[in-house]
Amino acid sequence: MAITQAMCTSFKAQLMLGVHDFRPTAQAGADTFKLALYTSSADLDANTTAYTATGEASGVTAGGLALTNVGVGTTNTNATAGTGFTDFSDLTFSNVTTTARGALIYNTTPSANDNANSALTNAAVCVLDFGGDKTSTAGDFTIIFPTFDASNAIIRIA
Amino acid sequence: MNLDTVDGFIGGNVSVLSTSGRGFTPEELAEMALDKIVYVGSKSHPVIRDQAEAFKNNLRVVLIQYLQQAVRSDRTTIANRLREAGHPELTILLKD
Repeated sequence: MAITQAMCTSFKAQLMLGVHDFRPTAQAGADTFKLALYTSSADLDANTTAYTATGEASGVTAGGLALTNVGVGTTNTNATAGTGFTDFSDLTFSNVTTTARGALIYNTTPSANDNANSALTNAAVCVLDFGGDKTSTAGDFTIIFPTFDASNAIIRIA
Repeated sequence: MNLDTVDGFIGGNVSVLSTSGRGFTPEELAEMALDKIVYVGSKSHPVIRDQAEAFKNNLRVVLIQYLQQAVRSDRTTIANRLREAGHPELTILLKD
């Protein structure tokens, strides 16, 4: 059992199927992404395809909390190269007692079906490894997302 | 152009901040906000970096001041709700 930080392979394929809409949360059509916290007993990596309750951290809302989509940005490095990127606002689990080693970001409202035209449920996006157990006791637990740019954003395609 | 010049997916890193027995202070929240408002790249020109750092320091003072005021204002609202609910004695818990 381990948490390995990765972009989920199924997510990469689903981008080509139009499954994930990262437009800003306030805009119509934007998908709802959630972040769920997990203990070190969870088994999450690039092979994870959907949200699972197995190994989820206690003391916080099951299934996690909804993220706020920042939107999608682009930067052209030169005439033949550039980067597309997206990010989320920081997320706080308020007044909780919990310990988490990592997290899973997943899509609760996929915009399209899979390659076989079957409906997708809670499609996985990426796995986050905190590098160690992080604990909050009757306090706030905040996940700080990186700067929204081509060098730092949480999801980038270069 | 060959499409094999596409580098592919790159994942960013998150960090986690947590507290125990309290919430975040205005000073801690101000630092979180500053990192979002002003980002100075490691390869920035020193003059640009110095200006950005100076701006960041000024902004820090303003943010902390208004975040502290937000806390005080919210406590005023909560105190009034406690009084309206018939528990004026609980308002003492809201004092610093």
